[in-house]
Amino acid sequence: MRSAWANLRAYPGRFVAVVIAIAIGVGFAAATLVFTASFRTDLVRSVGAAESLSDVEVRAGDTDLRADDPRLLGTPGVAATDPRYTAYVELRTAEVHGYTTIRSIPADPVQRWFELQSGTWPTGPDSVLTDAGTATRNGLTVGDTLTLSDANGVPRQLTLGGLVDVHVSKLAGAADQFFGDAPLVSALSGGYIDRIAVTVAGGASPDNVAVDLGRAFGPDAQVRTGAAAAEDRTSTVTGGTRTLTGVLLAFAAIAGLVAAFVIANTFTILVAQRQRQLGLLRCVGASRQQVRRSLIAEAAVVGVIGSTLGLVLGVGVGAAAMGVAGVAMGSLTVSPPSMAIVAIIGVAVTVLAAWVPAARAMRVTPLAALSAVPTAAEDRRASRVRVLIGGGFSLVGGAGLAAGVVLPSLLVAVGGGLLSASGLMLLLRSVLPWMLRWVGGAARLGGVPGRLAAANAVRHPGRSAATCTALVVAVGLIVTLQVAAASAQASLSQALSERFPLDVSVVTASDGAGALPAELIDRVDRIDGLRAVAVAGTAAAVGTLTQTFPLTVLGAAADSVAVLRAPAPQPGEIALPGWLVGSLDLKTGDPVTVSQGGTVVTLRLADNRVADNLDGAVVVTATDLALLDRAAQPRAIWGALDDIDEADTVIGDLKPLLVSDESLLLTGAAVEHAALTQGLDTVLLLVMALLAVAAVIAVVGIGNTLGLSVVERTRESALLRALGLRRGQLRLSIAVEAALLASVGAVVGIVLGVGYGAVGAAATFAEVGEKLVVAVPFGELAMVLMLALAAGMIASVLPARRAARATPTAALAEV
Amino acid sequence: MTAAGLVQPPTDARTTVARAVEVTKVYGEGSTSVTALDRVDVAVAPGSFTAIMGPSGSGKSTLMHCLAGLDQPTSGQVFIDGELITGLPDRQLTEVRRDRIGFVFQSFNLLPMLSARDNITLPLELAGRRVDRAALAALVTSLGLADRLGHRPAQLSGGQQQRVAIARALITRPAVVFADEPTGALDSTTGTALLSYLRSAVRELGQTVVMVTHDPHAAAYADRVVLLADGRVRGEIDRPTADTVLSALASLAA
Repeated sequence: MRSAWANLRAYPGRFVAVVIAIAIGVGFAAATLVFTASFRTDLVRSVGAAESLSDVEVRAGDTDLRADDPRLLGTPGVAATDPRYTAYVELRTAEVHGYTTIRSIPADPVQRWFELQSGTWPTGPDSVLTDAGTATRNGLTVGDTLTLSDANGVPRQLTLGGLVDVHVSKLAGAADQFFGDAPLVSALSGGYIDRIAVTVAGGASPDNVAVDLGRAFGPDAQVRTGAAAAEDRTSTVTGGTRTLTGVLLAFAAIAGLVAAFVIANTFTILVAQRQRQLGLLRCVGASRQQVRRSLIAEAAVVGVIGSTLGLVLGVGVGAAAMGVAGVAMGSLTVSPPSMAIVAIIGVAVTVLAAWVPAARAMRVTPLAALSAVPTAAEDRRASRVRVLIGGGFSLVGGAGLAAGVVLPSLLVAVGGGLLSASGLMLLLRSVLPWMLRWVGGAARLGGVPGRLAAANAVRHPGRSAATCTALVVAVGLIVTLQVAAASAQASLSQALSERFPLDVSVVTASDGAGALPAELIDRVDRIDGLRAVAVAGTAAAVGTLTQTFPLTVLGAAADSVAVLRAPAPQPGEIALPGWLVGSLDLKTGDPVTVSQGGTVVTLRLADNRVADNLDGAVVVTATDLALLDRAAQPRAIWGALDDIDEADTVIGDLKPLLVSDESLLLTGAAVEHAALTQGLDTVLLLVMALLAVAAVIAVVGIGNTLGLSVVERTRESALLRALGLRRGQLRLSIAVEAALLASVGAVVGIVLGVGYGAVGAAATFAEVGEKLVVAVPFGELAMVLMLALAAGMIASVLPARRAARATPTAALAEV
Repeated sequence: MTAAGLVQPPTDARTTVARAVEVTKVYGEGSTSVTALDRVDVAVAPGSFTAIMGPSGSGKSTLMHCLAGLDQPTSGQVFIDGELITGLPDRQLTEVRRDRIGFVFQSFNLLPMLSARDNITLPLELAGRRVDRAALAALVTSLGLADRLGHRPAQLSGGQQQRVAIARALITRPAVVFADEPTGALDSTTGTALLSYLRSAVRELGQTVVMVTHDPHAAAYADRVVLLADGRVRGEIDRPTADTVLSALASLAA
């Protein structure tokens, strides 16, 4: 133990990387827990606020509740009751027409879970309150008039009397809500009591009162304590936070795995460097166990330091994330038990990662103290066993992956993926040095610094392989997701293009005002990346002799057919949406009558799906439309995007032009594409950011390996300097070595990631029965490679400076 | 016996390849300072084999470091090949070492990841000079290394490693080769063969060699021995034998 401390104190620099790696991993997990716990607290505070204030609540069960129910006050311990009304009402303001909720304001101010921000509490059934969010969304300010209509459509003119603060969590998603006094809400809800809040007498326990009330009401009502009700209500919303915690912790585990590589590698190097010192310890009488214990103690101390730093970092980052996500700082929740668990795991991972190196240290013979050059001979048998196991796992896992795609079964594919990934990680230990040697051939062209770098990179194959493997894991996961996401997007685009005949379709609803304004058509046409054409149409009754529907009939002309992906109907034909064909019980070729203002045209039902996604519009040829309405006006805009990947932007440009008219309906592949990719892009970005943490740890690992190797090579560096290697050349050599490690790690990670991403997408799509289009985002992959290289070079700066500090005379000093 | 009286510093560059003038080296500052070299004057003639001797702590290694441009003297001047190297910026100093000086170390100091051949040609590559195949072949043949060129240092015996180090020092045809206890890590037979080779390099190739040693038998291979004690030159022996060196050392200790 004392020697462990002495080592730490003597060479603190050698443990910096380990401490950073642990701190990042632990910090990640701690930040996750702090953030999600605070998030949950915030939700509980806002969602369960109303319930948590009452002692006991009685909710309607089999029968409606009555405020004067004798069972209420007849139950011992009940001091007061307060009926709460909730009504679902139609809302009309100067700007908005919709539906909303209005709740009654508790008569007792103590029971109110919101405070007045501005205005006054309602004094009668002519004014209401709302929260700031609802006011903003509906364009209301205090003093405005609004109309609420009850279920029977009876309108009431009301004044917005003020605003309240309901402590709404920004993450809970806010719904519009109003508050009114009990008589008003009671009238709006038709006297229906949602729940009755019961206040218990002093000294009575809410739990007992709840039990007694429950017995009294039986199945007529649902009785719970306020606390239980709040918890119940919250759990419905917080189920999501549990998933979020799980997902984030999975990423923390990945970061931890990568950190474990860095830690294990560091201790392996330290043990190799300390061969003589360890041998000396054995010479002076230390037992094998003592040698191991001292190393484990060292790891534990480093683990404790790293974990402590990580906790501090994690709480800070978690709090910062709350700020970004808009969670109130008052909700900050740091749970000591979960923090302790994270810290313990951090220390445990450190100690476990140091276990194998420590076992190796144990095997150091006392004789090692006397050998001049510490050599860590590669155990050939171990390497053969590793290749066999790794190869076996990879083959079986690969077969599992293939089976998962063919069957199809996502579960089998995931199992196969995990097995093959662990097999590959074992194989990498043997494959990476070979690759480094191969890539190093290119570095040899860079003169002496390049040759030195190439030779140094493969000097300790195990060390280099472990360093690269950490990067392979991080980059591999990032690329897997990139490829899977790109493939999913490409496949969705493909599916959407097949489903929708148009990228963009804007149609006026059949009962709408009529023709589209020329100005709108012009402005839509000017949107970048969108080719738009106006399609003439008319409102007509479409159907059979017995049944007709009022629909918009569009006439496809040559220019509008050009933007269609599906074939247009032939002259004399009409394309109807599938639902209409079904409800009219028609078959292809059957006569369909179209009538408008006395003109009746009979057409044949086309075998054509063009009208399927046009929101109630049917399609005929322009010539047939002219038979029906000689002066048909533009009633639709059809558009094609130059690039479907730009859907987000184009739809973003298009939507504001359409908001002014409610009768305009926007559909098409581009709309769906924009909605899907927006969600996917956000999630992907978040996941990338989380995985980037693992990549950062891996890069810290590169810097660490180089730093430790450079310490070991001080004499060589000095010798090279004595022989005439310039400082800059020495630094360049270390940078090239870093670039070699980073590029091999990144390239292998990219190759494996592309494979796993494609197979993973294939398995997922096979499971849901969709067709897969594999897409490889070359641009992003190139960026990953460049970033990895740049990060590797940056990581080499400190080791390179250290190497260049070696003075030529040091080469001559005897050890 | 003063230093100035015994070793007259020649003034002509053609008669000296390495020269120290009033070189003083002080380590540390204030009360803890140690004067390793105290106004030392030494001149090395071209084509000569000079041994620097002295007891431990006499400053012989420091003197060599300063002469070879590995370390900067606190005061005084060092000339290599007639050029003042004291105070040169690191880059130029690096090039002086690369192009004009060869080194042989006690612990061989070969780069473990490079083959014997790559170790030998390293200084040429550092200088961006072409490897003269004929010269390399002649050199490695004379050292008996021809069939060992593909081996890594770990696969060579101590004597072979030191011969690779000598080849590395000679390949650039440097103005002067500095050897720091070259036989220190070798058995006596191997050491003797090595010293003979160094002497033949001086005789036959006109190579200048400066060797630091504490072994009187090794010093006897030199043309001249410079004796150092307490950071000062204390004497000089021309055409030394092991016996004359031993008695000179004994008188120093007295």
